[in-house]
Amino acid sequence: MVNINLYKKKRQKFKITTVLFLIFIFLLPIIAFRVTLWTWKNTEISTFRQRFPIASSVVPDGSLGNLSKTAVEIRQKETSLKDEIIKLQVQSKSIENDIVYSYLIGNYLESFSKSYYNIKDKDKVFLKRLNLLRNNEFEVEYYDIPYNGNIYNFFNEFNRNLSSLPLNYNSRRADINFLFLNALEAKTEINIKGY
Amino acid sequence: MQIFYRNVLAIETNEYYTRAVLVKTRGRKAKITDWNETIHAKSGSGLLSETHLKSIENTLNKVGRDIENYVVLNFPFSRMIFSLQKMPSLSKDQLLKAISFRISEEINIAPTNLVIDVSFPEGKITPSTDLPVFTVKKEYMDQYLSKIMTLSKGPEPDILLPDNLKYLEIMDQNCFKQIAPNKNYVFLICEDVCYSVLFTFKDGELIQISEIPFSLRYLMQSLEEKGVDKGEIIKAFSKGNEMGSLSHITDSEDLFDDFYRQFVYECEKTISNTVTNLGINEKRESINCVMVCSMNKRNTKTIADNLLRSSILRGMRILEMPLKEDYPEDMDSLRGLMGLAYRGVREIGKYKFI
Repeated sequence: MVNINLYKKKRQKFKITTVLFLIFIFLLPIIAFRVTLWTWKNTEISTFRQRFPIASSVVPDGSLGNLSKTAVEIRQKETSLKDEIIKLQVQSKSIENDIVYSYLIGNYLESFSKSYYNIKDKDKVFLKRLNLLRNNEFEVEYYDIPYNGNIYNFFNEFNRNLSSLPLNYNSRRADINFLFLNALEAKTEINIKGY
Repeated sequence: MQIFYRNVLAIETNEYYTRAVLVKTRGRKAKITDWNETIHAKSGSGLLSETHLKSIENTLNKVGRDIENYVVLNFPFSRMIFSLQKMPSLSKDQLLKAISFRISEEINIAPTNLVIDVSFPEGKITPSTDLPVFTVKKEYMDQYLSKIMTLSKGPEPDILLPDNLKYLEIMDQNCFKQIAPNKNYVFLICEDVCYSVLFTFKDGELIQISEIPFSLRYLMQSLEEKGVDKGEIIKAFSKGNEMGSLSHITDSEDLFDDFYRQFVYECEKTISNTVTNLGINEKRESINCVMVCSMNKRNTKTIADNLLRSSILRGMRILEMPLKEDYPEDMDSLRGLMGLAYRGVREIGKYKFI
């Protein structure tokens, strides 16, 4: 084949409609990508709204950017709520401890007082030491001196009263016989560890 | 908006007529959508005359203009210089420059004032390869294009094809495949209104172009002297089958006979000169055939019959040039124009005419 061309200067020219059409063709993938993204976002939001109707009430009908901002806000709120819950739990535990502590001490002292009033005509009671260490133990040391004989009415009464209470207590006693005096040195402890 | 298809606009113009065809190429198929012809063969209507340029404008107006068309325009054969050059082994760009300087020396015109194109063969170029070179004076080409583009409001061409090459485009190249290696020379005589030309092929490669100094122009002049209208003559030449009736009506059968006798003689003379120039020693053994092509089938057949009757080159085989398989039958009278259209379509891609 003879490929002769005497004029090789021509450059291809396009009409404005062709240029616009070509630009549109080149932009088509970008437009398609954006439309796909938009559709995907809407589908995801609608799925989210169906799954979490309450949370979705705070989600604005805006862009994905707003949605992510809301998600951050929700996450912050969740963290602060957790902190509050922990604080409340600590406080309620502390209040519970206070209540248990006051119950234990109150009942103990009430038993002590009640026992004394019941036997005040029979025994003399001398309080030697009262040691109260919060969150550790509560100790009461006393002397029980009966008016007659060797029956320690207070000690017995007090222990009986204590046994009817839900207390973890421990009583020790030591008899003192000095000349004609019969006395009892007693020590009662209750464990208040943890309260 | 030619995005999913491409239009090829082929314009064939000479001092007698202007033709244009619009071919739509789409999906590996080329379809002729429109064509038009304006005959402006009046006295004083030479090449690039006002009448000629007006006729180009009218033809293009009828076919329609589109800036995106792929335009093929013919360039007058009379303004071409054809030569064969033997060059050393160089790259194609360097060869073009070297040939340009050599031709510039031969015809004494500065290389910047010449437009040169070379038909490079398919195989390797060696120092013994004859390179067919087509040369045009830049000044004339600029003038030709500028007048067509401004005064005729014609489109800027994508391809400016030497007019004589248009017939090669419609030739079925498969015909060279059957040629035996020892009988490898083929001559092709092409007859046009303005000129006649002899192509010489060796192994299917174009190696020589010679002008046959006789064409239909001489018959036209003789008929004009008898008072026949130039336009009528051109119409008859174009259609082919009206040439017989024209000779009968104008009582000029003898003019036609003389013309063909003279034409056969000139053809034989040109072939003999070419054979001598190319150094072909054993003519009968080396030359395969002589092919003939004219503006239409009827003219081609008439010339082939006359050549056969005259037994040129001692009874050489005469054939009508085979046309491409997909050549549209109804476009037989527009062979030259279709050649230009084929050239444009070939440049765009592989399309089959329907």
